[in-house]
Amino acid sequence: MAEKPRIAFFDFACCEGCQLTVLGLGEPLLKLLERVEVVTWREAMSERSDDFDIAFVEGSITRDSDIPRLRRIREQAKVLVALGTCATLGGPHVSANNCDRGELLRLVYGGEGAQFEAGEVRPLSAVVQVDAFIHGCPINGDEFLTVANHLLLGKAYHPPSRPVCHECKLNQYECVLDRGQICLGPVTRGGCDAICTSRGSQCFGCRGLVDDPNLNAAREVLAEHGYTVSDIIGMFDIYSLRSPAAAEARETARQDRGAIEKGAEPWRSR
Amino acid sequence: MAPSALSAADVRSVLARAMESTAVLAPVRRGRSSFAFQWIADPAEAVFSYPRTILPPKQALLPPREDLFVFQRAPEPAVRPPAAPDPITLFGVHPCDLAAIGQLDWAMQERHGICDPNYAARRAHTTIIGLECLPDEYCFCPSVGTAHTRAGADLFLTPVGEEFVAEALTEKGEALLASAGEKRAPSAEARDTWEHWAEDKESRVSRRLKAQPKELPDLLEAEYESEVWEATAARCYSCGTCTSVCPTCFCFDVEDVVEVGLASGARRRQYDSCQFLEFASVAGGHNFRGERPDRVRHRWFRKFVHLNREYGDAFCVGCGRCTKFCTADIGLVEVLNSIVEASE
Ligand code: SF4
Ligand code: SF4
Ligand code: SF4
Ligand code: SF4
Ligand code: SF4
Repeated sequence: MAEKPRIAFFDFACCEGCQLTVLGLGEPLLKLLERVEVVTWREAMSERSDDFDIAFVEGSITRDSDIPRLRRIREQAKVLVALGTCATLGGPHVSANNCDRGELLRLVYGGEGAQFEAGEVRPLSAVVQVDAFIHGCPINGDEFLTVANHLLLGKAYHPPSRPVCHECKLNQYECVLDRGQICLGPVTRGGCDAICTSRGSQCFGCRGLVDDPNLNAAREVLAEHGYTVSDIIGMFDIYSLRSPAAAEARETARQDRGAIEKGAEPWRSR
Repeated sequence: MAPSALSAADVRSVLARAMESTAVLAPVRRGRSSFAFQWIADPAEAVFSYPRTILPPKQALLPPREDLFVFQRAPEPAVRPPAAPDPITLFGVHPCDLAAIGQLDWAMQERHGICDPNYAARRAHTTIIGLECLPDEYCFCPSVGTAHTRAGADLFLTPVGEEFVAEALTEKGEALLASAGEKRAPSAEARDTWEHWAEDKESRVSRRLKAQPKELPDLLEAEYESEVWEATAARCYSCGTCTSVCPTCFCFDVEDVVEVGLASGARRRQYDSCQFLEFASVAGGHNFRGERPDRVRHRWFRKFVHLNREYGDAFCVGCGRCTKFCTADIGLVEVLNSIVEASE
């Protein structure tokens, strides 16, 4: 039996909810653990090692001092997977980029704010090459397993580019737009099985936009539903879906999809 | 067979009878003002009057996701077909949806001389109880000739006042009807309403196609370059709602999935949509319909040109779902009519 691929989990600026989703997987996680060796996972164990093949990296880059650490992870990892929307697109705190940083620090930390290093919120792909993207805030546990399985089998994983509406309809959920709620499902990448609309909430766009979002249609249609420009912008700004950084991250994710296709078992290509 | 009268309670006892030996899919309330077909646990859950459900009854015959077969590596390699499907009863199927099941039967069992075994296995054990309806603003069944469909139903119910006029169309239907007890003839008044239902139904339809289905292939082909496609695409999200909710769409995607322990897996089929960006992507990365207007046009061409010629009729039953549930309010009939008008 060949040596098992060595797996490591890392986190940057985030809530660690995505790692928690992985930890909460139960039996399938145990099955996955039979095929890999987890060597570093601060949230789950105290042992650690700098010798790993696949890195699952959660969180966004908010401080320049994070950059060398991320680069070291990139140099070591044969495959680097961005875990969760913080890592793939910046996450909910990417909306801080729309505010005055100094004012934000004062607002949150009062007089203590100045001592914190807090810069522009960036997805991992703004700093290093990312080989696979698992979107979602938090991620969908089944999609994590699918991606892990694809990686271990040497198959490419393409995040689906079909809007949340598709999954919403397949589950026969009543459209929340018809109940007077603003919903980003039509332009948001599915894969979450429309979990929010299943509970009568709207989709906030946490998985980012689909590959070819029709934003003009969204503006026009939402305006017809009576929403003002600031309602619409407010929704899009929760995950900063309109920002150039988000567009760039989306483009990188689109072009990079299939990056892991290059070698059949990429962690053995050293 | 002379029609008989059933009370609402009688219909529920027919349902109870069906539930003794089959799983029953029936329309139920969903959310604040929607309806959905659902496997019911109690006859009381079924509603007898509804405009349209989100997904059509197609979901019972061609489920949104199903395993075509499963395979295992251990203890020894094996491939197994799925378990034989349980017999099912579809309750409350409107005439347009009956017509759609007929079209789906052709697509899944006869087209190209290929019969899909998973579909056929379910279809062979399906009993259908049809239910008459009155159109709302989205329906255009008369334009595609489906408004009065009975074919496919074993038992057909027309709601007349508080009662139902029931027609048994097959032996299965007879048996179901018998479970409601002693047969009663409908009152003269009920019979009169029943006999005039078709006219009344037609007169209430407000959406109409401005051409005959037979004329559409040539009409549309002449407007291949029409700006209507671009204009429609400007509003379209490519979300695939229109095809998922369509009772006659049957495109699917097939993928082999392996569980994470690598002991077993399945060949999984799920609904695909010609509206999705990656639908026409092929090996090597080329996408035949990478542009939204091409995908939009394809949906109309598929239903009203290609399949229309192949099947001999529009591949659309006028149920109105694609229009009602499109979050961008894109109207199927409106687009067709604007093409017809442009060609006049
Ligand atoms: S993507 Fe969301 S759930 Fe995951 S770490 Fe970031 S904030 Fe937490
Ligand atoms: S609730 Fe949202 S996701 Fe669901 S169909 Fe409506 S717009 Fe789409
Ligand atoms: S419905 Fe929208 S906000 Fe909710 S998990 Fe899915 S993509 Fe995220
Ligand atoms: S439902 Fe409407 S928006 Fe969605 S793909 Fe169909 S036409 Fe386009
Ligand atoms: S194309 Fe639209 S109206 Fe026609 S059968 Fe499909 S969903 Fe119904």
